[in-house]
Amino acid sequence: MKNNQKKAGKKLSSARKLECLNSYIGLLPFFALFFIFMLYPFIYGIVMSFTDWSVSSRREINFTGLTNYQFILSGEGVSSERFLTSLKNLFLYVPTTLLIGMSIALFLALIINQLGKRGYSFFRSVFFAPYVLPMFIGVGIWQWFMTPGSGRVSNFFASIGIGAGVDWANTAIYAILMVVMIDVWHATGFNFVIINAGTKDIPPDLYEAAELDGASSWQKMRYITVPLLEPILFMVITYGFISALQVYDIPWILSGTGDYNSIGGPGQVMLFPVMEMVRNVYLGTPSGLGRAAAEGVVLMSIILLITLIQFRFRRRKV
Amino acid sequence: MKRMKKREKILWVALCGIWGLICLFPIWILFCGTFSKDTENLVNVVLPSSFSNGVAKITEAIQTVNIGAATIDTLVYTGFTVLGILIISSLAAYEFTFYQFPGKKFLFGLVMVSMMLPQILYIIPLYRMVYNMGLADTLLGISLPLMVSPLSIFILMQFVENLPRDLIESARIDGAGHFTIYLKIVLPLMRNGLLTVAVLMFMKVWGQYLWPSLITANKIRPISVVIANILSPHYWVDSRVKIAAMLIATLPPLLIYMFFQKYLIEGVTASGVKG
Repeated sequence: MKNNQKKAGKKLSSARKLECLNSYIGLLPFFALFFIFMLYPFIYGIVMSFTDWSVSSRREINFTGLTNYQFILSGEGVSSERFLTSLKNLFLYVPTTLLIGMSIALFLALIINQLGKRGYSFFRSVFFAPYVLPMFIGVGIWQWFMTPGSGRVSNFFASIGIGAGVDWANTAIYAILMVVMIDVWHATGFNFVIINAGTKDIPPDLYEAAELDGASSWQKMRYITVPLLEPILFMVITYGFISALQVYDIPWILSGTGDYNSIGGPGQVMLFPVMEMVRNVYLGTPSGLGRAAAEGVVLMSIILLITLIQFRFRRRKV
Repeated sequence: MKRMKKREKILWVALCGIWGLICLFPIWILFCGTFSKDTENLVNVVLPSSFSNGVAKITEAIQTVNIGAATIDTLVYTGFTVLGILIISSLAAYEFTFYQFPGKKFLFGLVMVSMMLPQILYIIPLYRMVYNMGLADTLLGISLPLMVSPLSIFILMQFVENLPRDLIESARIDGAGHFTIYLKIVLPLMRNGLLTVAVLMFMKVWGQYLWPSLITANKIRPISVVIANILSPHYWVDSRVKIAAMLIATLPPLLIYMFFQKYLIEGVTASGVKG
């Protein structure tokens, strides 16, 4: 009897083993691609940032320690100056685009709930539409709208006293604002949909109770909606940070792809770190790839740092 | 009190209308710019005025700036990538949702981590690696790296999470194998999730610029690269042809959005609220 039970148990475990093996086979395609095309290049990039890796594949690769980091952060030489400028632009761009973009998205997510059912679904589809268009189309349209002297939007801004006679894409600060404008136009629909979905999870009886107590719309928003939306807002902002730090398509296309020195516009008014990384690849200088990899690691450290600070900040608040 | 509410509501509708206009006007202008007479000043166009000229400009865009070939190339690699994502991610979602196995927590943790890993951090080593594998400028080279989509696994898991486990159990008692259950039972039930992922990922891959621009040369012409080229000030082409080219690049995602918007918005919501 005992023996029989043992046998059954053993049989079961071999069936279980087969079941597990099947599960691993099912997961294999994803993890194979993940290791080859994501994790391996990621680690490889970090390692190579300490070498003189260059575009020409015939050159041998030597370990050079922190040379690349010293070089890109020293501020001496064109490439390094450019990288530091790109970081400076990034620190101006990221808070601006997040502040403007998130405010609009939150505002829209709140007011759309006041509309009737048909108005709600109509405007939700409309607000999401720009996000569906490829980024490069948004760039093309806005480049056309902001043409100096004859663009519809630049003329409109000039008529209300903003940037009259300015060539937005080639002027310091204005160039960054133009990138902000396109990014906000493109991304707000996405943030709006997520924040709005969050407002739907707020129990309606909270509002009813507040109404009985005579709360105004403003008070309801201030004391019920925003605090309860905090987790969603936190997530959207974290995600927004990570994608804003990687800004590439808009400024790269706007500042022309003609020659490598024009990337980022005159005086690098529109230069961002990822563009400088890619420029290093195309330029093909000795240890160019190593430098690009080091720039990637610097950017990654910034992303990691900001994400950690955000999580820290949040834990204290909650 | 009531009147005030009504006034407030009118204000909200007006504000939504303004942002709605900001969203749609640029898309509308792409149509009008393409379908306008050559004599009309493009700066002032607000309504389409010439159907035949629009057709002529679209034809010219297809022939002279290669938009036709780019559309086909891009449809091919986007379709291939999306198909890959659907197969790979649905399998992974199936295993993670319905089975227990050693190392599950760790593997799922890796999926979560990979969601946070921005592509630009490894794009340059990735480019060199794919190049050294001899896959530069090929369908596989452009698509395989884009098939790693942890977000898709996540979304698909949301769609089968609430499925009763008995379904799987009773199928197994009936003698169905591991992958038969996946094919015959789980995949059909995932249908809405698969559609959501397909639409979402189509938009994402169609809009990619950096990766296709790095990895392609002469054989594959991504539409993003072609459009970026004609937008450069060094490239001279009739403005209406430029606008027509942009219109063509907009149509596939826009049409898909018009037909499947419910799935797309659901997908974004699912990825956001629960992730």
